[in-house]
Amino acid sequence: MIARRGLLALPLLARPVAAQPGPRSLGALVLTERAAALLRAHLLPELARRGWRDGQNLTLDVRTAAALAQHRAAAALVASAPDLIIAVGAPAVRAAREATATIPIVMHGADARLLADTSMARPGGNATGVVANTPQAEGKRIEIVAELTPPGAPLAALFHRGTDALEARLAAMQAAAHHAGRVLLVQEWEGPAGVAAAVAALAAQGVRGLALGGTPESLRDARAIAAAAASARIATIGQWRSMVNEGCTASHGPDFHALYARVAHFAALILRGTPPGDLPIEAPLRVETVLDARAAAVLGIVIPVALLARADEVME
Amino acid sequence: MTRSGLSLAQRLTLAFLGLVTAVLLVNGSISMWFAYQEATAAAVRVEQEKADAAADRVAQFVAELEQQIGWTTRADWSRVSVEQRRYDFIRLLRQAPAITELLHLDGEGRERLRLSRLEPDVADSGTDLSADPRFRGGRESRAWFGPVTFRRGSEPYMSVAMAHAGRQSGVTVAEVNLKLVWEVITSIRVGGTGYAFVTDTAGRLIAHPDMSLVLRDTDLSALPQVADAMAVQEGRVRTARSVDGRPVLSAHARIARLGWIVFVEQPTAEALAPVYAAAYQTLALLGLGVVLALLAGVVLARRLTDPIRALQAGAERLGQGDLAQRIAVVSTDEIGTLALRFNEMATRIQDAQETLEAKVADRTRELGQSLEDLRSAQDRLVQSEKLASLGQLTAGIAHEIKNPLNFVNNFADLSAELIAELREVTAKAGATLDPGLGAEIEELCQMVHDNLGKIAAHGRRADSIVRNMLAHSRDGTSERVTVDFNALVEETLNLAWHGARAERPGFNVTLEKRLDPTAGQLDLYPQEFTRVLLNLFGNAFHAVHQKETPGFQPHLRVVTEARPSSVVIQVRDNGTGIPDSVRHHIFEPFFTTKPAGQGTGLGLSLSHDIVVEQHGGEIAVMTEPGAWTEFTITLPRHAAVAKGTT
Repeated sequence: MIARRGLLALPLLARPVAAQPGPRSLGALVLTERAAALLRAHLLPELARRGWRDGQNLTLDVRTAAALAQHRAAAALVASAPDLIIAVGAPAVRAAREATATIPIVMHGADARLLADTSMARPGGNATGVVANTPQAEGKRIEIVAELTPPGAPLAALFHRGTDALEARLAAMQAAAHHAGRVLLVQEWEGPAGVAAAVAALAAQGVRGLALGGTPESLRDARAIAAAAASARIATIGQWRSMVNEGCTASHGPDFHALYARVAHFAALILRGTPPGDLPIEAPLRVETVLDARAAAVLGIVIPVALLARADEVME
Repeated sequence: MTRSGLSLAQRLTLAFLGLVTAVLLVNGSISMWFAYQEATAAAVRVEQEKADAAADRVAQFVAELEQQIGWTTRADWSRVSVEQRRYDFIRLLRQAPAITELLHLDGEGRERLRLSRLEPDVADSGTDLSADPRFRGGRESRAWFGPVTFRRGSEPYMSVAMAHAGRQSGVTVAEVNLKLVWEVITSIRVGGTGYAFVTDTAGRLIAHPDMSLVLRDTDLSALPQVADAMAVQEGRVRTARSVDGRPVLSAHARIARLGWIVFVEQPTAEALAPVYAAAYQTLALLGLGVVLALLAGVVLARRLTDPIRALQAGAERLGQGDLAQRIAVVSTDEIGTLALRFNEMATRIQDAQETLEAKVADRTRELGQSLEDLRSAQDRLVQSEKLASLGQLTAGIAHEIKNPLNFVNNFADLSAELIAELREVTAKAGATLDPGLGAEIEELCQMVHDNLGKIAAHGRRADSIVRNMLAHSRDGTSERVTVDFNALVEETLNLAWHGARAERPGFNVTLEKRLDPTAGQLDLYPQEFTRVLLNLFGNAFHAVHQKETPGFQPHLRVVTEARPSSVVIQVRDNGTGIPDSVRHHIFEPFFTTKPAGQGTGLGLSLSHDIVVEQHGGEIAVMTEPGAWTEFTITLPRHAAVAKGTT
């Protein structure tokens, strides 16, 4: 049987391999250094699995800029004329889309406003990608943190200064808080240095649980926020599972690596010539809820059975 | 060699090869055809089974969902607390990842509980969904599967509604994210690179390994295989083109209760790999067969043509006259038989030729013998003629000489008588005569008498010579008489010696006679044999006379020897001998070494004739040039046939 396959494989092997015109250049826009490191850690292996290896047939140029500086970074990246831009985080996505209408863009965390007036099935244009966060997911996190905290205790939404599309998110979060019969405070922080002050301000208002906004800055400062909150006996919920590892009490959101796998999937297709506008924007296949029972215990929280049942993973 | 330019071996090989190849081709084609049919049928069967298996997997996925949702439809569910219901829903969400949202509608169609993975839960909203198809469908059948919808135009969802047990009970509605079918679909292995996908009965894509196709809300009803499946045509397997245009073998199976069609597609090349493998195998066998046929053809043709070539080469050599050539016969077949016949033919031709040659040789020998006989006859004739004319001549001369010789002899005798008378007269008158005168007369008379005696003697000798000449001329006319052989020899030797002395005064030779007294009487022709002896003795005397070596003692030895049936005489001289160049000619007529006028050249020739032909004896000569010569004559005592006599 093997011999027969061998015979059959002969004509297939004879097919000429398409010539590769040198390494393809991949540009990336991220908001934080941490996001840049995670991008490298998660994207490159997935690209390699699909035949695109950094340093061989691919060069990766990662530009890091704060949300407000994204436009300049995007312009600079576009000026270097990469074959493809990967934009991580809503500010980066928006900046990239505004910087070019020709260079294909793979969005990691599609802009809410983009989704509002764009068909997910046929986005058209030069951008496609994955949805990392939605206002509903922000609300879901408020619902979970409400279950983790004593009834009646105020809750907080913690957003980095400059987070865009904040209104839609806050609306969903307010609705969830309202449904849970809670008061929702909104607190901003700016830069790692501003974490302590923000948490302290919330603690002063008696807040027992806070939800970190689904932004790259939250990912960057999760450890500091979780530490500060823990010391103030405030339960925290973030978007990514990794945040639980960094001290948050819970997380609710898509699988971080799975998203990058899809990003790599899109990037590979586009590098092989598929028009990005033909590729539907994808929502995450799965959303997972992770609880840290130890962190909860430290805070004196008894996790409700219903929440435990809902959790995809409980760290004991 | 041949008109077509191909040798017999090549043509045989080609014929064999062509035959075997044709057979192999026909056989290969037929078996290939059957193998193709069989493999195609098998591939179709396999594809069909794969489609059924894929459909089973998808149906299993849905059945599991149904079973899991069924946990929330037990009869006591309406009596449990809201918290318990919520907990059950949460557990259901945990158990069934594909369910994104769960609704509990009470018996009147109002929403009592809504749990979502993505959104905040809603409890007791009381929204009236009694007209919602999900509620109505759930109430109508135990498990209602809604149509596939695409959220925000992209994500495929399906509602599953199940009524709770009991009358006027509620309904559990689950919103199922069909993207999760992707995991089922992609886990279905269809050969090496085949895949499965699912459409609804309208041809809309529900699940596909390329999720983007699903999210794009793709309508595949234009694909022929999908259109066929939608039209519920006979045959669930067909060749087609995949979404991206590659040729595939497509099979499908329906999931009737969902209204879904599950397709499995496999690249034609891969699906038909066994067919191709069979084809390759047949081709390989064909090639092997052709190669074997070629080898066998060559070997067979060799084995067939080698004997033919050997036959041909042998025939060519036979044709070129090499009759000793034989064809090596190795086989016992027709060609071997043919070669045997060739060999037999060659043998016969050779035998015939050899016989012919022998006959020719015999005839040639006989002819040569005849010619030889003719020549000798001619020689003898010539010699006879010569002898005859010589005899006539001699006879004439002898006759002419004989008369004057008779006168000489007669008158010598007469004169001797007269001299006697004169002496008588003188004696009478002696007294009257002066004594001196008388003595003188007496002396003169004595001298005359002596002279007359000499005349008479020499006259007789001359008469004898003349008689001999006459005898020779009369050739064979003499008669055979019995004579004393030794006496004849002695007499003849004396005669010859005297002759030689008369011819050459002062001639001297030592004669040695060893005559065998037992030689006795012998029947022969005395005159002729005397001539032979005279000739031999004369030649011997001549030879010793010719030899002028200082201190030379001429010697002649005559030996007779009696043998039981023959008598031999040897005459040996120590003269000049006979040179080799001469020796072979000595018996030829008129051959002589003597100066002209001294020999007739007939002596030995006549001697030979006389001894051999007249007496039936032998004459031989041995000689040492410059030393000696020995003639040996052997005479039979009783010649049975006297050749040459008439």
